[in-house]
Amino acid sequence: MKPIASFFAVLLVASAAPLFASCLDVAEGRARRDLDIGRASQGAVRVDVAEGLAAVRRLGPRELHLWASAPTLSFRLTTGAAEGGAWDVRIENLLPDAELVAATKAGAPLPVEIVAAPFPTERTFRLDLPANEEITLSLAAPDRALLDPWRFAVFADVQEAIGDVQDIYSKMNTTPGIRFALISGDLTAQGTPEQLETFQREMKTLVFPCYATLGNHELGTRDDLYHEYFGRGNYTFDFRSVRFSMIDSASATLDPLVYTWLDGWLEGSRDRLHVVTMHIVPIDPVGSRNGSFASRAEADKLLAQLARGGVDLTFYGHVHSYYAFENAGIPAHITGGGGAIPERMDGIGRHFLTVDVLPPGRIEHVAIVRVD
Amino acid sequence: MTGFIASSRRPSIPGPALAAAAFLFLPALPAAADEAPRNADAPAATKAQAAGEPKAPPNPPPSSGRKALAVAGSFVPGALVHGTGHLVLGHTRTGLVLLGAEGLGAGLIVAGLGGAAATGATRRFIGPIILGTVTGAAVFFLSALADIYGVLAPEGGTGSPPVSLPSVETQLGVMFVHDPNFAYNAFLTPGADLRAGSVRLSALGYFALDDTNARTRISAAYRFFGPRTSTSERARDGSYFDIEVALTNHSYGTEGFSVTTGEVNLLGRLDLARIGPTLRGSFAELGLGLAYAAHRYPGIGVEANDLLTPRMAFGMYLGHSGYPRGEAMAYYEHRHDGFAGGLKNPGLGSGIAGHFGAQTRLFFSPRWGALFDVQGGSALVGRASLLFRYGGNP
Repeated sequence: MKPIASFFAVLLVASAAPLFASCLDVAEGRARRDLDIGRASQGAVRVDVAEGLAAVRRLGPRELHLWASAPTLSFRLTTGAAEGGAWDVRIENLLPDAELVAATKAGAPLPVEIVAAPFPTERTFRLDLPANEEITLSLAAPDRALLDPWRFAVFADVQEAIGDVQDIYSKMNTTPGIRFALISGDLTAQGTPEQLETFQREMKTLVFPCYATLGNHELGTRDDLYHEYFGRGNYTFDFRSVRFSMIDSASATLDPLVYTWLDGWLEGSRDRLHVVTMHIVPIDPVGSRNGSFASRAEADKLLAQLARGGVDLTFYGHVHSYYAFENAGIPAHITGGGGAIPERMDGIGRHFLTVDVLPPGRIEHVAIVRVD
Repeated sequence: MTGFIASSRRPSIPGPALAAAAFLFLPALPAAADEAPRNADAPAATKAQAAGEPKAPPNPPPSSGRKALAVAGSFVPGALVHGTGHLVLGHTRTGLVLLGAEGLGAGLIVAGLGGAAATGATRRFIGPIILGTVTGAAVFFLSALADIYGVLAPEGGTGSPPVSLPSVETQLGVMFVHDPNFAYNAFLTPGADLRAGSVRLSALGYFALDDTNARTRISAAYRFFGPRTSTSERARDGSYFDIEVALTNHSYGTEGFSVTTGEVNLLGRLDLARIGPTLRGSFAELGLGLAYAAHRYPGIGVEANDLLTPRMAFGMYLGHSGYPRGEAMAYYEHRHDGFAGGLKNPGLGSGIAGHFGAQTRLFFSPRWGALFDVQGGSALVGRASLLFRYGGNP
């Protein structure tokens, strides 16, 4: 063999350059950022939202602004030496009938007054807080543990159709009984600050809150902007006998950290219904399209874990149509009808889903509500 | 699929591969005068002289300055205008073929992406759309790599293809996998190929040494044309066209599931010397295929799903005679199963692409050789195997 000149080795290596572009930890930064959500401090003033279930939008002098990711919040506010007095706590994306209760560390209740309610899902509460105190606050709706039948909605993939999203919201508002909605990602086209703000502004017409996880389109600008506005991508909460787990699959994978969190969330939900929502479906029912996880092996690993953990229902977005199928025996629904470029020739169009729950252990019905 | 080889015995090939084939048939036409091979013993030159045709003035060797300009041109503006290197070097026909390939590839890519956008990736047409897009990407990128190779390659190319194959080839190797979502790392990888005439039977296993993961793949292939065992007719060059059926079982004991996949693939290789003499020693591969997978979850049941298995590669033969001798290639596989899975990227596009890889097969004697393969997708995979072959005189 003739000696192979070094440039051929270089040529071959250059040909395989994309090999080295493979990045195995694309979701790690976001998973680690989840751990910081709900915590903020300024001087001696600190706030810590349990389980990171709210994004701290602002912590200023006697002012706290939260975006709620769940119907029930529990958080601690440490006032410091100089910040006693009248505090305004503004909470967005809350249940309209949610009540805020505050108490000192010793358990003494503190009066809470609603001073502003500009939208059904936004309240500003005023509290007179002592200095140098750790205040415990909890936000909850009266029906949080009720075992009567109830309903929630699911939608995804609004993207560039944000200008027409009020069609969907109007239909949702007139659909009876929806307690809240889940958004399984792709709220925006590129995840810019302006688009994230616009999405939150448009949500104000809804008479119930929306709890979201992010989609791949939220990664179009920076992969941590979403967290500033909407909070964690991976989280879990309970409401009326159902556990909801929102998972960040926006990079067509889950970070290894999330698998360990999920183990705990599954273990804690053995006695109740468990609904899991994420953006990218592990395995696209149209396999040749592969609008799904980058690795089929990882997809199967996740599905096997969900099935072993007794998950009752899964929701996804990403594919702009509606599919009902089973993954690892778990009923699954793809609902990507928020208005982004629709899958043609499927007869679906814009839509959202309603889910009727019959506590304590049954999903009675998943229905598609067409908007167009 | 692939039939991108020029041969009178070539089977007809449906689908998007026809477009690629149409362009690649062109190279089988006799080279123009300005394409006279640099080797005096090359067949095209010999034929012209034997027929008593007017002797074309041989191409003088390019000056070092012109060659340097061609090399630079193959990168800039060659990255945008494929074939620039050859056009600068004076190999106009080869340059134009590569430029045409770029146009065809770009057209297929635009049509594919446009089709996907226009139909919203409809379930009805997404399969052909993806196969067409990958074919376009293959033609597009391979033409760029071919241009670079052609202006850099030494006289006669980097090597020559084997024109016959051994009847038995075995391998025993180790594989290392780094996947952040799986515990396994090390595998033992035994395998064997048996060939008789146009038929090949293969088996390859991956058995985890530190986990309960095990993958076995058996396949059978029929070669329509190309190198076969030495008892068969000797091939013109290394180009071939195969149909392959395969069955793979992959058991993930720790994670508690398994997948059995049946697939059909059309695989083709074109020795690029058929395009122009400067490309002697290089080859391109294109594969298109479909698979059907049964996902088994113990205690739950079996769920079926399909996947596409297109593949493309650019490579070069290493060595003309004697040993060591073999070939090396860089490749892309669109499939998302197996150890490597698909590529993860930051940003919007994660999960769409398959994985990339590079492979070298090198024989140090008529019997013994080595294989090195690396892949990057959802995991990083590296494999090294000892090869042994018997039968025939490849």
